[in-house]
Amino acid sequence: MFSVDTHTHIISPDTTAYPAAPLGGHRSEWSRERPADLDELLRQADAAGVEHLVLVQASTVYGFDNSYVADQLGRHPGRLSGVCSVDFLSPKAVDDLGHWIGERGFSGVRIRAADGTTAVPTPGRGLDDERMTPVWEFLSRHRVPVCIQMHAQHAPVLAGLLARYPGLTVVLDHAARPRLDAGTDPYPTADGLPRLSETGRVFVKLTPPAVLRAQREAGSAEPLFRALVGEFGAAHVLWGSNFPASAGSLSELAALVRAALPELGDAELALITGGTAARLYGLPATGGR
Amino acid sequence: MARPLSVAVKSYPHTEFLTDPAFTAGGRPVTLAAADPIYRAFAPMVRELRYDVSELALATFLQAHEAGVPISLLPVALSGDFHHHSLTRWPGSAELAPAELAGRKVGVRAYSQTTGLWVRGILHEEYGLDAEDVTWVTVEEPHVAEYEEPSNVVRTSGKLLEVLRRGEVDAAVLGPPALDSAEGPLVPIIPGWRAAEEAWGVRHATVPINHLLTVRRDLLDREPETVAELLKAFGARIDERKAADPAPGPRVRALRYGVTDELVAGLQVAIDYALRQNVIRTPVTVEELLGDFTRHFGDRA
Repeated sequence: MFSVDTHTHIISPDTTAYPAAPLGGHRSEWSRERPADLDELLRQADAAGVEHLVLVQASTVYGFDNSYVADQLGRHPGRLSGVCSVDFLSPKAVDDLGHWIGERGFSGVRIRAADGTTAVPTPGRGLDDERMTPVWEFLSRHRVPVCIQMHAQHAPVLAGLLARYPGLTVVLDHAARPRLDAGTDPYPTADGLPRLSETGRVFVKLTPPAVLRAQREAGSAEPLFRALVGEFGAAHVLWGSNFPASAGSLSELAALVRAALPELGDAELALITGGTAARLYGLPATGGR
Repeated sequence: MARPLSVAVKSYPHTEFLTDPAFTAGGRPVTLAAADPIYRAFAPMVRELRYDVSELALATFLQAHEAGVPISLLPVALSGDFHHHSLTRWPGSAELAPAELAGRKVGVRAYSQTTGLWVRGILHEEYGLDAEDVTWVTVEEPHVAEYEEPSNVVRTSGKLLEVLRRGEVDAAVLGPPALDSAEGPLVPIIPGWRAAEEAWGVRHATVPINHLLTVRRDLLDREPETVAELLKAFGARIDERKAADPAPGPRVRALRYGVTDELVAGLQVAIDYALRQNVIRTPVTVEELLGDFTRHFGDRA
């Protein structure tokens, strides 16, 4: 079945061509301890039986300079897609988006509104900072999916954006630290605002950090993943290995996420494995392993 | 009796217990240093390690840590507040929007004063104003001698309030003591500051920290139990202070002890702001700042 890993990072050994300039000055620890360049990532993907890879700009290494990923996209256009990072607060953010997406082949963009595994400063007043208005308008108009690294506490703000921008399509990176208590909305919004799942424009990305957090805080990730698939539907759920930011081989990381999935029918599994991503990023889902 | 501990902390309701002659930690009584305002104790602490235990401003600690001064941070926030209201202009002076400060002069007691760190961070975060686009007019040098100020920091003489009154600066950042003692109402520059402060608090899940407790590293290493007793005493008084206030304002909410999410968030935002403003120039993590504490007390935190 067509397999798409929607969350991978690459680091170049060539620090002259691609110097480090991490957001906030904190270079991620993983990128020092276990950097992987594209060739290594492709070997790992081959071993794991992953057909298509989404390269997510490593902003904790390269900040908003997406050159390394861009250069690699050009080498393997059929097998790679890219998610870039730009400064949403910059007055030229829309020009930057036009450059990376329109000219350098990226399919999506990412914004970090909360910490992942490496601390980064919050952007401005948050996702609804008015300086970001042109960016949201651009993404909504051009239907560019935006990956958001956020926490469940930001869901009301996100719901407001989704209501304001009818074409806005969002991927919750690392499942966005959902509420883990059973029976509650994993991302409570607010009165008068839709649940995130109701918009049909929110996708949930299941990754090793999401698995590990649920295991740590709730004993197991399975109830959470069952709840998320139930809430959003398999057509709005995808997976990513987070290789090499998460420790382990890509095969091991894929297995970690897979093992946390509830029992699913073949059609649902095919969506989570790659079908959802293929639709989101417009991939030719012709794989057939 | 064992040699007294020398302690420099301001007199707050939650530090009054130290004036009790019967109070001891690790069997040692306490000698309180006379430092008023308390920031007079900061330079002696970071330059000469003059006290065993000292209150220290967060920005000063960040610079001392960067300079390798052997002082250990303890997770006790002794003071803090929101700071949108701390940037003001003289009554009757020309109206000024925050973004219009670019290219102008803003007074602050010292570039590394912690209230200034918070205000510059807020101006960047909410108005896109870069610290380097403002001339920072100061009246004092940094406490940490090794620290080199950015080139857009200049010095003048006199009290900061006077500098503001004379019109030498367009606006000024005043810490709580100066702001509280100003005659007549200074005019906050940030519009809707009260709501903006609460929104900042929600966004960052903390209240800005101004001063924390620190200890000479050699004392912590030699007498961790003494420090543990002190920590316990501070924690109990902070609990009492919070319990006594049914509707605590930000200055009471800012008080806290222990490695809590709020404390970590406060330190993290301060690091982010400090790096962007060249208050420090070497990236550092919260774990590193609390490394000495964690080494001794990680299992009890």
